[in-house]
Amino acid sequence: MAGDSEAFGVLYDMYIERIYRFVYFRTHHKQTAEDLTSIVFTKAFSKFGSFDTRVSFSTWIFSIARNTCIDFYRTAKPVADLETAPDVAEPSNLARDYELREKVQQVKAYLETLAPDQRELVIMRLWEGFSYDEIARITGKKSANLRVTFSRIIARMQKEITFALILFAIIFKKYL
Amino acid sequence: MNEQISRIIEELKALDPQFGQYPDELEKILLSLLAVRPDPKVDPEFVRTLKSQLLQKLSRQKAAGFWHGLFTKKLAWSAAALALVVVAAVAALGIYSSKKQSSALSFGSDVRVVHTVDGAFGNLATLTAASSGAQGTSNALSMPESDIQVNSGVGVSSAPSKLIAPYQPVNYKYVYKGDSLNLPSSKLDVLKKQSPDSTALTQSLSTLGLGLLDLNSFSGSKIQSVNFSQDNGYNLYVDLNSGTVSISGGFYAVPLASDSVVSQLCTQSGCPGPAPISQSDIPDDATLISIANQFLSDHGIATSIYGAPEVDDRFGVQNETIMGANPKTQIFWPDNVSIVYPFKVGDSEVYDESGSKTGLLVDVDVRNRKVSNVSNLSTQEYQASSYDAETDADAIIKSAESGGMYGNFGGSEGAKTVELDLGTPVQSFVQMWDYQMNSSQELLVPALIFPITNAPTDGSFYQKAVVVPLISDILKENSGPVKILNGNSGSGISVPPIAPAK
Repeated sequence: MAGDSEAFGVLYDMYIERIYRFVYFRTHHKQTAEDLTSIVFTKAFSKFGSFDTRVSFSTWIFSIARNTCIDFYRTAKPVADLETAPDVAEPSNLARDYELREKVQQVKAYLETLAPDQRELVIMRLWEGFSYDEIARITGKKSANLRVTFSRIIARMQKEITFALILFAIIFKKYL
Repeated sequence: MNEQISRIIEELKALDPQFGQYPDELEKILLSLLAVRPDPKVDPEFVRTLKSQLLQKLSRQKAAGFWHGLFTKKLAWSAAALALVVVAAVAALGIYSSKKQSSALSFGSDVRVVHTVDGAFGNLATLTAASSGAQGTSNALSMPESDIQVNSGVGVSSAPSKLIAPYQPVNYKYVYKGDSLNLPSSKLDVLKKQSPDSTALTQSLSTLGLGLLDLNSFSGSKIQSVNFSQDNGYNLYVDLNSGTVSISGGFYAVPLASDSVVSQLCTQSGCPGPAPISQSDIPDDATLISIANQFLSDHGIATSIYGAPEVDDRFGVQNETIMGANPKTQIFWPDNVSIVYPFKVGDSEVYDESGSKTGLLVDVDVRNRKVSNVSNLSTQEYQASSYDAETDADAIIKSAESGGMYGNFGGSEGAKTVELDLGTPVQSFVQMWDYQMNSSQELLVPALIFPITNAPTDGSFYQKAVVVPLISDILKENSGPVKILNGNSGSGISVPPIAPAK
């Protein structure tokens, strides 16, 4: 039993920050993220004794986190969304790259246009760095489908944002 | 290029070669997606608090089998109707909770320590030593023969005083003769015992109502204790506030004579008590420990979390000394002999302030060769919080030479002085109590245990070690000579070396 405590303590230390960020990316609200993170770990430890070690702990706990977020959105009004989140990163390190800065603003808007599962895919693949196989295990979807979906999102984004930039450049030159 | 971005671009190109047409544009798109990623920082206090809560819950959850174990022991419970209803309800809930692995009641069977923030238990200067508290093993520093008859059933009877050896006052002087002190770090963890959470059990029981009243109308009430009674057997008292279980034997002493003889004697000269225990009735230590171990094993009480059991043989030393001095002395040998299973935290056994190990106490009834009493069976879940440790070795040695936490009651004029050597100490814990608002909480405080290497063997001195707390505030509070207040004047006076009655 003491071994379980130690193991859980080690895993907690390993995953607490990642789970918090995972939840935060889906809520953009500190208090909500803390509450949901607490729920995730409470669920995890309550099932810890029956955890099947043949399954990756990472997959297991991120699945719990994902389901917790889904439950939260089913039962509660989201406290914030991506657009209104005050702490969405400002690309200060990209300040000199005018074009990229512009893109960032459009990307924020573009993300809002995505369907929830598409936005989740972008977040998991790009923000959280999960592989397609990991995303598949956590979400229960097929890895091949995820690859195709992601490529379509990027392709569409490439077209729309590039078009917007050209349009912006034309308008900008007109007023010079 | 960002390695992650490169990999994603390669994946996209592998899926659709058209992605390779505008690699720079694609990179910027992906970089911009990364750039809008928030960078939340998790609050370290939140991380610590949640971990602390989870580990406590985990330990409680693992202990959910307590009730199930308790109720599978084929005990014949008393038949009082209401008690049966309550017991049945609690039993049902207990078994249910164990199957559901919920934390309806949380009695742990192993030692768990969960860390919390520094100084979490407030000012420790007001802590009280264990012997003044509700629990703890009793131990006399120096118990002269003249006091024995009034202190307990252990020792000399109320025989004519001429048979009792005259009291010779002795002053004890502690002298440190160990190695130079190797003090631990400047911060040390104080452990505070955690009580089990009975909220869920209370709520569950409240919903049953028992058909007698609406328990829910007493909002905020909690189950504080539960009693179980076995016909002509054991009584169990479960204290949910302190997280302790006490077991006491309800069986009768072996009759000493036939009923007719007893009734005849009763009518003639009052009812006689059982025959006195003689020295030959006392089993040897191995037998006593075997009886205790068997009882604990039979009732599912884990002993692995305790140190090796030790028989409290102070009465034996005392009596043999008295008999050696005067073989005709009338002596009472105790009906019950105590065995202590010391509490352990890590490799450290826990002491009381007198230097005796403290822990689970099992009394063996020497007439019936049965366990008559079990006390201090308690949860071993602690919260740990760091406090400033004493770093002045001289102050610690000075405290030890003043008798440590137990003090030194010496000071009789004309009394002979016995020098007690203190050896190199070991670091362990001393049990103390925090009294607030009519309730007490047990704390384990880091302490140095100085062994007394030349303790007198004449039966008049029991102390085995001097205990000096390592937490600065507590040490300061416990420093200085022991003062005993005079009932009339209220001023401190020196007294002969007589231990306070327990």
